[in-house]
Amino acid sequence: MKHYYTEKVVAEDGSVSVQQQTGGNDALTLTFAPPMVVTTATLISKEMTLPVPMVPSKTAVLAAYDRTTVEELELSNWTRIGNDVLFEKTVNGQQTQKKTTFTDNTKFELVHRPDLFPAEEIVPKWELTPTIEPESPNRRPAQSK
Amino acid sequence: MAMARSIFVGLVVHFLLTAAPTAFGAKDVLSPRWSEQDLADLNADLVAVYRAEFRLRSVTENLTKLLMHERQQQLLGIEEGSVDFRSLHDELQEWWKRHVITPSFRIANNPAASCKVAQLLLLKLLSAERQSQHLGIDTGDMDWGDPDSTIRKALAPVKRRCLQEAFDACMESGNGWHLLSRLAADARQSQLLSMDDSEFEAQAVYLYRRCTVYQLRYHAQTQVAANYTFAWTQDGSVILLSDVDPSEGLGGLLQPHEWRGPRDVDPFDVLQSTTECATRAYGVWTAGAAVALPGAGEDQRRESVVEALLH
Repeated sequence: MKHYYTEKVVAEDGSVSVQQQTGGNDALTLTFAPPMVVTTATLISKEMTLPVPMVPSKTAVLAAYDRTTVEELELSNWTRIGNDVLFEKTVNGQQTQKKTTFTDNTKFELVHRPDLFPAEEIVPKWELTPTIEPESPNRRPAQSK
Repeated sequence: MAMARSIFVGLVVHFLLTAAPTAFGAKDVLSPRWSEQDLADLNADLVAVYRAEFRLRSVTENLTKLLMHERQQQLLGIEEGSVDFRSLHDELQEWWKRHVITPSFRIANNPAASCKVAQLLLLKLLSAERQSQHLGIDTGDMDWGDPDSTIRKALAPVKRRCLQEAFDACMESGNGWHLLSRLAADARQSQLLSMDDSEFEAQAVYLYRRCTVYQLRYHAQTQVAANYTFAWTQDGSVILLSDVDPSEGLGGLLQPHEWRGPRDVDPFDVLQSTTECATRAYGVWTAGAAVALPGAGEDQRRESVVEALLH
């Protein structure tokens, strides 16, 4: 991420000034791992009722972006927002295959949430007290524009 | 009208200045590490240090003159003077410790002091050492290899204070660079002094991981349209944790690393709402597709999945 810092600069005449400098880049790439969730859908026909495992929305989403695996979905060029929402990206995809049109519109937000660090991974001897005050669990999903 | 507008603007400004940060949807802010008493103590100690240094300057000038006179006498083979430099030095050292070093230690441990101010302690100690060397006396205070030496005892609170500052900057900005640059500077210092500080490095990397926790939130609207329409929305989030290993220290942190999630033990945070469904498609009726997934059971997790085509 881009960061700001100050640096003492000595001019040719020997005078010293403090200047603000920037370093780093706001570079973020999001890649996807294979899905972990399977739910059950039910196919109902006149002959039978058949429960089938289903990866929610995976097929349609991949089709909308003309991809065959989730690993091929790679999101870069995010927009830097500020804090605590650090980055934001909206993707739109639409593809038509065999008279079926797949459409997807997704907004992602990357939010800085140190309060969500897993309690079981806390190492008390390395903690610097006082720590951040715990945040109330008011999950707020990203909203569509 | 103009009066009313100015009052309104005034009220808005007042709200912006007084409202809690959470009123704007921001995450809770860090509670400061320092209290008003810490600020007062810092101010008092800084004044004490600068006042002592001011006094010391005149003492040093006189001492230097005395020292030069004594050396001249020695060179000329004249009987040694009555000045006992060792006891003079000890007195000076004691005075220096009481009026400069002790308050400097308090400054280094004061949470209101910035990293740079805390580093003042090290400068004072080095200055005292130079003074001792000038008098030809080895105090043993500056032995970097001795964990019990004054300089090593001073280094610990200074590094801790600087680490706290970097951690707080990371917690406020979400940018782990603050900790990375701090650790790089300290690791280089330790390397130059041949000091093993792997525990400190592990702590700094742990704090990097502790701070750089991100939540990926998403809102998705998806639609499949043919001679039927099937549409749904998904709201969810995933917690992303850095995969750096604290035991690898700075070396591991400098390697390319990623933020991954969710972990196997993390609860699912997905809410899927079907907005259009159950229309006839190719002679097969689709119904009861994933409507809600919060808290999906373990039996629904699979390493590999079978895709169910909707059409």
